[in-house]
Amino acid sequence: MSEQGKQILVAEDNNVLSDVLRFNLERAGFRVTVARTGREALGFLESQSFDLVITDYQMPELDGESLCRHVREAMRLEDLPVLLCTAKGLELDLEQLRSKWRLAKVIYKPFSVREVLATVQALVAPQAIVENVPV
Amino acid sequence: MKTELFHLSWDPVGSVSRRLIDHYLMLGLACIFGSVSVAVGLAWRDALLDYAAVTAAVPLLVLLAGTMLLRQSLRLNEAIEEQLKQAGAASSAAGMGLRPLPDSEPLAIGWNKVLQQLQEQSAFAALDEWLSETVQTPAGRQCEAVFNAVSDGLAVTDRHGRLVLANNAFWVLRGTEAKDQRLGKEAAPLIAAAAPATSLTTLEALRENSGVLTAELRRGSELNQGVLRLSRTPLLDDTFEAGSSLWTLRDVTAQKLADEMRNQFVFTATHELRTPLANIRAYAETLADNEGIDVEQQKGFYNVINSEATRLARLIDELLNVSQMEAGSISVARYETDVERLIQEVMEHMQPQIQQKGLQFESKLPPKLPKLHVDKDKIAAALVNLLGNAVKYTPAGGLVRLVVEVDASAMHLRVEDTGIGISAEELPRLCEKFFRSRDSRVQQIGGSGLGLAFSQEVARLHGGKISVRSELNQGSQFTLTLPLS
Repeated sequence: MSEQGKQILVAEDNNVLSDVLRFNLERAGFRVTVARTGREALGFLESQSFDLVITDYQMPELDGESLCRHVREAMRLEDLPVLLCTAKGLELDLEQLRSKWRLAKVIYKPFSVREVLATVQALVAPQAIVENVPV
Repeated sequence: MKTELFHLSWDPVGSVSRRLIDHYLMLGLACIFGSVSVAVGLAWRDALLDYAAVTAAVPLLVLLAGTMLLRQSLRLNEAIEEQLKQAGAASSAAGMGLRPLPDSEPLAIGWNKVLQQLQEQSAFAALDEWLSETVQTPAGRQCEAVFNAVSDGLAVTDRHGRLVLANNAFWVLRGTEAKDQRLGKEAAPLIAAAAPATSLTTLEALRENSGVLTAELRRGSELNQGVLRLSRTPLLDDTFEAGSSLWTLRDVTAQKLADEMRNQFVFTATHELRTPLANIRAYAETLADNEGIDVEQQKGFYNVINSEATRLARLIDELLNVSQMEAGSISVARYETDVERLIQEVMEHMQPQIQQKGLQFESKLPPKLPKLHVDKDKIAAALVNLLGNAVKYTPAGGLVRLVVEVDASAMHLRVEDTGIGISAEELPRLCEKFFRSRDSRVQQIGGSGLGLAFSQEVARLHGGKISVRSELNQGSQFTLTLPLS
């Protein structure tokens, strides 16, 4: 598989959900690291390199947006694709969030694992162009 | 007399201006006399012919120009004096016929201002007269009584936005003490001062003294400090002077709080429903899409789906409980109940959660517990709720205790924990429906904000209560008190 060995960071405080994401991503050949809080995710990002980040918006200690800010501003990881998962009803300006932090995609919960997997595969494949992500 | 030559009558009661002119003319004639004398002098020296034209023309021209100027500058005095004379002759105030002067001289402006003031005062007086006449009749007195009994604040303002009428509720909602309740003040600043947290655009609209306006006024940054709904509509009835407005003020704080609670509920409920739903969807899809998952792992996934579905069902039960509470239709079926057994059953139900979380558990019961006449299921649910909270909000390694005490009149079931505790500010709101602490440690644990509200309702229906003692970061004590009889 072309994705063999690609590193993915999953920042999600809901263990049940992160377990199933890990299961599916590992089956597709990715290597997965799970962080339970935004701060933990930040620690991982500082100590190792990742090919893609999937982060929840609502997280303890440090939320998804703050994590994005760190990634883009403090760590200057300009090209790291970031997928943000959020719940409808939080009244976020998603379009603004997406362009501000150059997010690869915003996904609503409850999301389809199938869809997340397809998005991840399209993003980390060598010829992937962000604009051509399947919806 | 020389004055008669000019056909001017000497009127001793003539206007000030005319008198001034006459004096001036006499002075002028003296001038001519002087010049004639000069002319005669000149003639005596045979030089008159040389200066004749100049000697006659200069004084005449000066005199004429002076007269014109004086008349021009005194025309306003004359006009005012004329009006005042007429007013003196008029029999009634209405027939005085005082008119504003179309001029921009300071004198005219002053006169016009005096007239304006006079008109306003007479308008007030007329309204006052009308009011007292109307109020004197029995129907009028009834109208006034009704006006003052209305719970909405009502007020009428004139075209300058000044209060002409205001009922009791208006003053009360405005927060004005009895001694300061005076008509004639401007309404807009009065109202704005009562609602300092109102948005700037609203305050701006309020200051424009006319036109239809509907606005929400905030007494403080928090909703429960008070919200007033204000509306202003022009009064077109000719009973009131043109430009008058009717103002109504209504206290909508309770309604606003209910709205906020509903929104909070929708937010919490959707969040609580979404989490298990997201898990169910993800696991079901995983099971459907992947072949060759080993049997043990498949079993684990099915179990997740099962427990998440249970969580959804529990949430729906809680929501139903609350809707019953709201409707007042929650009922208790009371039977003689063995409390010791009830506690035993509750503990069996709680044991797995306590162990999973790695908590210590102790219970302290008196040797013999009296039987109670209660709804066993509801009391058990309330107790599970209190113990469930203790387990949820106590970090691993902490202690949860159930202490039962009986005194002469009541049984006290106390759940103690060494958990995160509740801040003093949030303690009073704890049993509100849908209330959830802002503590980030609470935010990351699921909960509907309904459990305590339900438990308290159960206690209340049994004639008992739930009391709370808590210290932030130290732990909490929730006591369910049930009367013995």
